[in-house]
Amino acid sequence: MNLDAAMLARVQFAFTVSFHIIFPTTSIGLAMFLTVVEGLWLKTRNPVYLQIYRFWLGIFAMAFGVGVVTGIVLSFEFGLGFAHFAQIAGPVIGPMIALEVLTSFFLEAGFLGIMLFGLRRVGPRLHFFATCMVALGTLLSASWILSANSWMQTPDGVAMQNGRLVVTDWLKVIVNPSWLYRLPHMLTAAYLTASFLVAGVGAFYLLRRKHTLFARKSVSIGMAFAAILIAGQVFIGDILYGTMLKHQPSKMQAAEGFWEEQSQSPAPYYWVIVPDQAHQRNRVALGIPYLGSIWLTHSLHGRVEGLKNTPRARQPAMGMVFYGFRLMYGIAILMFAVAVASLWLRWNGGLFTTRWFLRSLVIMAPSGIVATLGGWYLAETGRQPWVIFGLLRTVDAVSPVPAGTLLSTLIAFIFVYAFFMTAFLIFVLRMIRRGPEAAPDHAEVSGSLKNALRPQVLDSPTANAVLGR
Amino acid sequence: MSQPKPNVARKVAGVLTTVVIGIAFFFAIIGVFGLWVAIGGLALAILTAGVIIGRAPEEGDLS
Repeated sequence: MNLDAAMLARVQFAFTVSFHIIFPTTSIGLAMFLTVVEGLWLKTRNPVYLQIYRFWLGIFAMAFGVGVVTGIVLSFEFGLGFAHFAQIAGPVIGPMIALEVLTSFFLEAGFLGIMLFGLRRVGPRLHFFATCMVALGTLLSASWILSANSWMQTPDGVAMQNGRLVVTDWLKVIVNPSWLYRLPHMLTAAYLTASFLVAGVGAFYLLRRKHTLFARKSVSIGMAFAAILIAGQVFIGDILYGTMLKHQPSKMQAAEGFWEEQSQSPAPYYWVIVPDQAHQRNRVALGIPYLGSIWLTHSLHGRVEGLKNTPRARQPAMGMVFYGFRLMYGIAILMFAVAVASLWLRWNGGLFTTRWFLRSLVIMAPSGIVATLGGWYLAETGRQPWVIFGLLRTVDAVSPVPAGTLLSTLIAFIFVYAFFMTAFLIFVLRMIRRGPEAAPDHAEVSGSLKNALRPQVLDSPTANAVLGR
Repeated sequence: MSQPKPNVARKVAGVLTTVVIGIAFFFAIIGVFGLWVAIGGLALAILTAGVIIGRAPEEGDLS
């Protein structure tokens, strides 16, 4: 069997980065949520806010830890899978990743200890300051990474000299044409993720008639944030759509599922397609009549540009781009509907008692994570066949590493990450099952992963005696 | 043929109104009616959400 090294390098990076993005998305959102909740506790001294803070602090810590570890792996993969990319684009990407470490990691490292372990060791105001600094650190981290990735989408401020990219204007590199739109889009996605996660857990308790006060506050805060954020996200998403249409038309052509240079009029809005890239057509296409013209051209009979406007050699594979976009957009529409329903029910006093709504919140709890993954599939597969759009093709960026090496490391990553994910899910689900009353004042030092995965062991009198509690 | 109870009719009307308002806001915010309507729609949506969240009691009826 002939293995394609370039494809394996892409699959490996896609797998590791897909796994990674789940955790920073969660931790960025939860960091801001924790800041708001602790601020509310400081202002009102209502103990429920402190209970919510303590409950989500442990989950934040786990997400943060896994996010950092899996993020470091990505830097090494530049060498393992994409050495030519590192060689050519190193002078641009390297300093931005270094700046991420210098600004955000140092900030987070300095204050994370106080945030996790200092609730009873420092004053409440200093502790709140530490929480704010960690949230700021996550925001800065996202800013640098989004800047680097946005530069790969819409490169600016560089020149090619002797086969390497040299920076001619750092401001243009950092504030590249898509960064200003992609950063708020990603941050809002992270905050929405946390909002639906928090509301979903609250709804779960309400359905089981447990921890009622905690649950009501969680649903109330979660849906309040979600209602405001989703409106902003839809707006930002539309502005970003226009920006990418200008800078990466091939991506948006693929995202809409049309092949012909001009679609039929009126254009439908496709939800299901079976694209045939070789023959440049759809085998199956199901959509809503007129909606494509209305949403994409803002007229009843407008035509939409198809992928044939881009030369074949420069076309992304339509299927991944289309379904990445539909996944993200479809969930955004559902989020919008749930947010509107929440406002209606809140007005009528049924926010905490309407069971179909609470069930929908439980189902929607991981929706932010799934939507974020869809958005990143759109961004990354839509940029193909380029790794740096218009400057460096992905096939020219891979390392001179045998395909067998990439396959074996990919298998290793799958096993290690499956273990990570299982441990994370067991930890989180057990915390949810135990409920907010069992949440400790600060993060627990377990001594071993086995203990960490068995919280009831920690609660036993013997374990408490050993740990001096 | 029996007439629907008034509270059910009011409920249905309320749900339909909410759906129509929600769709109108969505179409406005994604720019179907132009950028300025999108900005206005976004501002109005946030204001409306803020007013409802501010007026409705957070914990609701605890009974």
